[in-house]
Amino acid sequence: MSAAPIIPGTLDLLVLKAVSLGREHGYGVLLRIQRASQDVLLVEQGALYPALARLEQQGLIESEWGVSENNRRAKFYVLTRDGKARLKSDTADWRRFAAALDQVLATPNLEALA
Amino acid sequence: MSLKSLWQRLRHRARFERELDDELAFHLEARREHLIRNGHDEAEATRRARIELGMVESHKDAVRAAHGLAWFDQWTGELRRAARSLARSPLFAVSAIAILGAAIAVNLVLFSIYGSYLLRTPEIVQRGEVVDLADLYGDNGDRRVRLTADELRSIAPALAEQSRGLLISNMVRMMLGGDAPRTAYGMAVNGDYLPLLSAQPRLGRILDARDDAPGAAPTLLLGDAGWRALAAADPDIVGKTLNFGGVDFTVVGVMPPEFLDLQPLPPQFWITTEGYATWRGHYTGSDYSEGYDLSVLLAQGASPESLRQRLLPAVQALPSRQAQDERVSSMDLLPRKSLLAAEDAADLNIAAIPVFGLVLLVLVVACANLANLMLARATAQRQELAIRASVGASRWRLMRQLLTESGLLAIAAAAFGLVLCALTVEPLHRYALSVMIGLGMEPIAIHIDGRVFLAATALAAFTTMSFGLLPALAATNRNLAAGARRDASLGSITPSRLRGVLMVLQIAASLVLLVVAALIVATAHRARHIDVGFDPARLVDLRHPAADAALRARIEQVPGVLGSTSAMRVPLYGWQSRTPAVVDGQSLALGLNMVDERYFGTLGIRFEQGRDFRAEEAQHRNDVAIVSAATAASLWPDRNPIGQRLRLVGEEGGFIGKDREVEVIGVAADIASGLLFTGQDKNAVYLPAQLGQEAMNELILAIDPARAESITRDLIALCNERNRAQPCEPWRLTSVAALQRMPFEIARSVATALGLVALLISAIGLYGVVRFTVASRTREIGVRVALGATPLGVVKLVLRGALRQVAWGVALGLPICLLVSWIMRGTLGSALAFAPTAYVGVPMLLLATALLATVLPARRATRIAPTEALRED
Repeated sequence: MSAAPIIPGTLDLLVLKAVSLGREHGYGVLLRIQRASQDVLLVEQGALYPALARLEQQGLIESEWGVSENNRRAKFYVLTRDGKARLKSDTADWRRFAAALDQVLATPNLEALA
Repeated sequence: MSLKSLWQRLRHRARFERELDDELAFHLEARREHLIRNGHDEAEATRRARIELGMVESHKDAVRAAHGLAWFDQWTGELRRAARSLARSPLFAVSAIAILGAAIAVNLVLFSIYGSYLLRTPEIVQRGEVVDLADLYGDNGDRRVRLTADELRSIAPALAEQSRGLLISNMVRMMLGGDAPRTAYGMAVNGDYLPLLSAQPRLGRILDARDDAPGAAPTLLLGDAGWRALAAADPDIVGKTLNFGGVDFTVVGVMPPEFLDLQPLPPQFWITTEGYATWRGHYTGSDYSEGYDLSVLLAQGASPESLRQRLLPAVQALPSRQAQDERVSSMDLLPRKSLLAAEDAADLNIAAIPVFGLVLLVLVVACANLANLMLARATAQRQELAIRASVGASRWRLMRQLLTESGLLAIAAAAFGLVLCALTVEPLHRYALSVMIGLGMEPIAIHIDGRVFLAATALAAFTTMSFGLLPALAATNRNLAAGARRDASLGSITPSRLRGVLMVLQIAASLVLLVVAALIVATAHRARHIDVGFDPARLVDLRHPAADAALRARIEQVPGVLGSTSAMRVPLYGWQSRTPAVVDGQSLALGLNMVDERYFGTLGIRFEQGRDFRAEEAQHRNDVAIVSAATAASLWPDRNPIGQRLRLVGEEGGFIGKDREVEVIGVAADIASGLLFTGQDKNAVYLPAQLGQEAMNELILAIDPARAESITRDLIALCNERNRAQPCEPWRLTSVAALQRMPFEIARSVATALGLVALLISAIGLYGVVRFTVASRTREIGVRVALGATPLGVVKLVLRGALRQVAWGVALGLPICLLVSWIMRGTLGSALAFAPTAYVGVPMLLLATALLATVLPARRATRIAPTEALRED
């Protein structure tokens, strides 16, 4: 399967989910998204940091400086309580949206709408 | 985003940037290692990592924007550009900042002083409504004397439901004896007074009900100023005594400087009403009880009206108010809001109106001036802006640049004004009150009013910004070609015309300000230079509580004392009361003094007709009188005043006793004995009496002015030697006059300062405008010179333009000045209200200023070389 760009507006949700899996730095978040999507979703690297800053500004994630697996100083992010709640509601929203989209796309003919 | 987190970010900006760099560097490094692990060589890995990350700077911008820092960066850049742009025209920037700053400072100083006295809310007023008992009136509207402390105490039970406490107080003066006797100013208060004000002492305790109990030993609480002045800031003063007029007062405590009481000048000490009665009996030997002021802290639910319903009957029922001419039928109860009693606050507000009028004028002058400067600059900037607009700068972008410049100017001016005010407000305040400070009183500290600062700054910003925006609006209209020309129109008005109008407005406002200032200065000048009819410098008021013949004989032996006289009243101590009299069946009121036979000789008052009193006439208080020249002229214009008779109507408790008919034996030259600014007495009658007789307590000495200091020392020593309990405090009549002139001197200083500021601002403005006009007419002048105009002709041309604006300004301002004079003529008299110094001097001054401001640019114009000028633009 070839790589697909991220649907606008969904990057924040993906980042939140990735951070929710455990404390991680920016590059790690990127890798988590790619691995979890089996390299289908391709996050534009430059867009990641503004997204992290945005989420931090909203109080959904927090950052702290720590040491990476290869002993480098890196900025790590963790989910806050607000972030957890937001992830839950946004995930539910997304599922509803995706199911609805699916249903629309699965409509076989005009009679099915009657 | 919260303001707090933004503030944190701004503070840690450098760290924020460093961390952003680190985070992205870590990303690149991690990605590079990842790629190497996946089999890329090092150089390729580095290259790919970079490409994948993309434009680092734009990512950083996006992160900054997400953190709310983008606008900050934009504005700091704008600010830097604005500062550079202003630095390129330093003359403009400095003039604008100086003009605005001066106007802001003037406002700030005056409103801060005003606010410190009138807008500072005493703590007790925050706790509840406080009502001052101002005046008592009889049936016919006459003012009645105030109530004594005992009377006020006796009506307290009747007010129990209406009040949470009574504040009974009286400002008192007591003389501290010793080698340097000095009058100390304090308050005699009831026992509840200080506890009600929640007074917290710095040392010892405050005065309370114990101290005010009948028969209590006299106690005293020192204020901060009094502690320094009367006790040399002795830290162990509590428990020691201070001797006032032979009475030892035990000091119970010292108040901190923050405690202001309810007084504009913090008292030096507090004593109780009982303590004061003890002192008074001892010092003067009289049992007279003085009137006290009453303020009431209202109970919850009580109102001034409900208080009146209880207070008035209680006062009417007092035994002392039963006689017909003591009966009280109404009273003024005024809510208190500030450190000043409600009545005084109202008076001061009336007096403050003209001053605020002047301050407002300074602001008008400054704003008109500033607008003019901005317009001149706008025209100069138009080319630049038009070019920027034509290469694609958006309208908003240009406006933002100009707004930033204007804002920067306003901020710089506000800062300058604030510094100027902070540096000058206390010296000015102390200078204004220097006479009182000389008497040992310590005024309150002035707080710079933050609200006034904000208001003045906002006005400054509004002016700069609204006029700063004009060029941006004009530059962004469609007609770029027109915009690129110099001095092109801003919409339908031409800037040169608008500048002219503003200049005229400014000159008119300056004229009004200067004329009013000149009128005030003229009034003060008259108060200072009025011929009082005697030489105050060689006269001393002994100020002794019980001078007698023996003391007088000793005093006349003091070297340098040339003579002495006794009188009921010493001249220059303010308003002189009048005594009803009947002359030839006509009722009138005359200023009366009782003097001994040496009065006229000692004061050096000439006789115009008749003779002086004789010693036996004074001794027996014969029914003879001396009148002043003005009195004789008004009462008997066509007759010889000598031998005329006048009947003085006696009053209960008055100085005359029964009705007395007296015969005029002499006419003395006029003197000024009351208020200096009202001039020489309109009428004056002198009756003979001797020192020691009733009401004859004052001793006036003629001295050699050159030896005034040693004489004062000798007199003090002499009084102390005789009776340390009765010290004297000799005052030269020049000091008395200075005290009386103080309000005029304050008004004069304020008016002079405002006038100078306005003149300076006008001069700067005129200079700037003329200079600019010359610059924008370079080409025209060049053509004229090329066609043979002489340098003199060019100067005339430039001057004519400037003088036309001055003339229009004068024409516009003059009617307003005349109106002001016409209103003031009642108080000042026509000669002073239309003073030639104001009406000739001020226009001349403005003209001279205009000439001075024009000469430099005009000279510049004469040096324009035609070849240069024609190449211009």
